[in-house]
Amino acid sequence: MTNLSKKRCLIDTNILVAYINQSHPLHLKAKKLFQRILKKELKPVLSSQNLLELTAVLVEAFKISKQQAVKDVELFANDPLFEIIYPNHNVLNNFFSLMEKGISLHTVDAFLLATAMENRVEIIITNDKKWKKIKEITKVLLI
Amino acid sequence: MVIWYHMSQLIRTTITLPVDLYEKLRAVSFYQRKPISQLIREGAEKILPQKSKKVSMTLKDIEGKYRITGKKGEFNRSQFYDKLIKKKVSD
Repeated sequence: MTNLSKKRCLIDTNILVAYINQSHPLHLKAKKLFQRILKKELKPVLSSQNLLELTAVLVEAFKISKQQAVKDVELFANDPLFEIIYPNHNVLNNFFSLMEKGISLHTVDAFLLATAMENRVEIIITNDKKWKKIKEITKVLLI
Repeated sequence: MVIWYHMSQLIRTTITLPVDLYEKLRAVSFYQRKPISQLIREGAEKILPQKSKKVSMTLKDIEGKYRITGKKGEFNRSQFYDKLIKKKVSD
């Protein structure tokens, strides 16, 4: 089990989706991660981008009403366990700089990385293997 | 706010009121056509903490809430945005 003790960990959207979807192949792993979050073993961080994406998944893919989707996403947004981070002007500059360097991530992933860097995120927890190559962040944990 | 009680849900008690308060209540009772006992019940309801109608949900309530199989039940950022961008460009 990876030592996440009190580390600022960004929980990627794919993990949030795995947590709420019982049929997701990584549901059990996501559930275990959330048990650790509830025990306060790490400092979970969510970006406004993650919450936007989760809302979009609920509405566009899960076909949930917009009203219900908001109620679900608010459970993450309003839970005091999570710190919500937002992009600012520095994030935009970081994003441009990452793009100029030709970062090997999708453009939208690069923006999430820029937001995480600006907000001193130490670990990104995701199931997207592309993140593993990224050196700009201390650690990427694949589940 | 009017709360209706069935007679079997009520208990009888004796309260002591200052004369002027009683007289004011009697006047309100007359003008509003409500018994004094109902006015007292309404006053008591106002000072007691309201029951929360909203059931507070937690993260546990959303754990495994959905059962969406296949790719629709997963999230791949690049595919998700690429699909969206293609749609926007073709519109």
